[in-house]
Amino acid sequence: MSGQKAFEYYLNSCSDVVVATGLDFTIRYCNNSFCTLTGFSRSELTGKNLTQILDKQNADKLILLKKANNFESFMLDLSIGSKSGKLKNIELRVSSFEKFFLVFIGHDTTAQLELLKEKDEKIKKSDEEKVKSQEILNSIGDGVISVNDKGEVIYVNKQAVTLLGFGGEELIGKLLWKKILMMDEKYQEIEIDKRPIRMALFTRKRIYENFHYYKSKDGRFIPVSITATPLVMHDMVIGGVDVFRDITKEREVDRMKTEFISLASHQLRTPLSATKWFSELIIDDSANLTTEQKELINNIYASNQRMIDLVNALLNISRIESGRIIIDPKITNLRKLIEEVILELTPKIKERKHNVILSIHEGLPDISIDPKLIRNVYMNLLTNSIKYTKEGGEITVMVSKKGEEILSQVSDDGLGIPESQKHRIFEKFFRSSNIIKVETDGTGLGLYLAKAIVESSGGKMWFESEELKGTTFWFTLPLTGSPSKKGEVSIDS
Amino acid sequence: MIYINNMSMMGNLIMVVEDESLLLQAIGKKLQRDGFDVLMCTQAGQAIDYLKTLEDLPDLIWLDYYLPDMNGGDLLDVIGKNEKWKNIPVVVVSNSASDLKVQSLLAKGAKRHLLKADHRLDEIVKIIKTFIGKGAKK
Repeated sequence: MSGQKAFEYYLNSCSDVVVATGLDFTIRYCNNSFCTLTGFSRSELTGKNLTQILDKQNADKLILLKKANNFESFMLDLSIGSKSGKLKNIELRVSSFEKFFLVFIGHDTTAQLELLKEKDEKIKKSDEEKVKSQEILNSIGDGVISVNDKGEVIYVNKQAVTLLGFGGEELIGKLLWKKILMMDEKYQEIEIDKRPIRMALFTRKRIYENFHYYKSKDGRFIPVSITATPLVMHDMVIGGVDVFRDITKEREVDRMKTEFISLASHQLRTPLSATKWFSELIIDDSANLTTEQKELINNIYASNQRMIDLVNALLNISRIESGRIIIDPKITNLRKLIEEVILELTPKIKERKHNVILSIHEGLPDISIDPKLIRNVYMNLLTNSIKYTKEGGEITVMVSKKGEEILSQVSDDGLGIPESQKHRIFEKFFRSSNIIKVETDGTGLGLYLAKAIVESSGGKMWFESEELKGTTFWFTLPLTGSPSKKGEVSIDS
Repeated sequence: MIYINNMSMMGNLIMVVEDESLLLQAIGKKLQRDGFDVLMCTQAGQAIDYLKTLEDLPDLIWLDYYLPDMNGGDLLDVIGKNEKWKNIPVVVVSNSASDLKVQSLLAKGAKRHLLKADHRLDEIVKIIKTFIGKGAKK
């Protein structure tokens, strides 16, 4: 093989492109790699002007080269149009050789550039996403603080900063529960383990909280509604998000509503008393009335009484809901309390020929509860059983000690609660369809109130029922007694 | 205005202080029917004037809480400070009362506090009878 041939063989087998042109860029020589890259054959390329296969911009770049001095070289990026029309990028070193030739040596960077471009786009896109979600988080009205799995703050939105007064930089990297204090209804600091975000991280459940306060940087207590959500990825808790909003206004509206109900109810009682007393006077002196007139005046009395009951129930509810109610626990003997309730209901029990059984476990300890409130619970449950059980029914009251609680049970073999309405039974004003037919009288507030009382006394209430077979209500009271609460009003004033 | 009804000198005398005229009317009728003599006052000031001028003091005062010139508690204070009046039993019959208010009324000497709408007149009369000195009159 001659030196010339060996040289050509070498040029053709190397992966770099090699092109030699005249000073006017007419291709004098190109190697196989260049042919492959452009898709043209060597004969097609030889004699062609290199600028013909370059776009305008690249052609201009080349023209500058004409001024190159001997042996000078440049790095050049060129885009070459291949035969198929596809643009190819090449990075070239251009050398001018003895003022006659220009030699281009380089390699195909198309794939590399595409990869870079893709990467750039990805980065740009993820930056865009980031900006977008930050803008979204900043423009919502709720405060958002997110933490890592340790509870260290990693993000704070604008609202959170505005609400709490802490700058983002003061919070980032700090433990949320150490930096921002949370208070309960009595403005006592809440234990770390009871903080919603911490509970969300540990239990992996979303936690809702409506009764607490965040302490702002300037020491204000801000009532907040909080949703703490754990961030779980591949079954691992990687952090959590605390979303909260200031509910000062809602609280205020709620307070105004309660005050209004209270005031309106008191005002309503005066005409209700007058109607009650005047109809009583007519009923007492009804010797000269016809049977129909007697019936009519009795209806007026009964309807008015129903209105009084409704107003009383509304008042009680507004008291419980407003938290103004006094819980005044006294050591109470439940047997005595229930016996008194049954005694008061005896006329109604006899009228409906029911059999009431009271069973109290021997040695049931006295318990520290507010007798007025708990009496109301037994009264409500028993009144329901009496009203909603067919004549001659059996009603059982059982009280026993179960672990750390006292469990009360009131059961009847009455009308029961329709399956489809069970979930609404503790709703305000709800009365189930089967009892409305039997007994028009009733406010739909009794069970709501009973449950509210039990819960504010530290217990729980639930039931089981089957239509036409009967209903059993249970409620618990902690053996340790109900927590005492200073308030303004009691249940029946 | 002060109304005097049925001054027969036979029954016990009840002074009723209540500013709602319809309620006052109903109470008066009921008490008369049950054989009481009734003094009806719509203001606390009238009740005080009456007590000052009356030869025979009432056997019981039926007192509302919210009155146009002073509240029931203040009237109880006035009554309690007067040697001649302080032994007249007072029953407060009003339409609302917090526990605190009731406790303060009882501390000032009221015998009972009753909620109007929760009681029939019958029941209230039964209760006030238990506070009227037996054999004082009638």
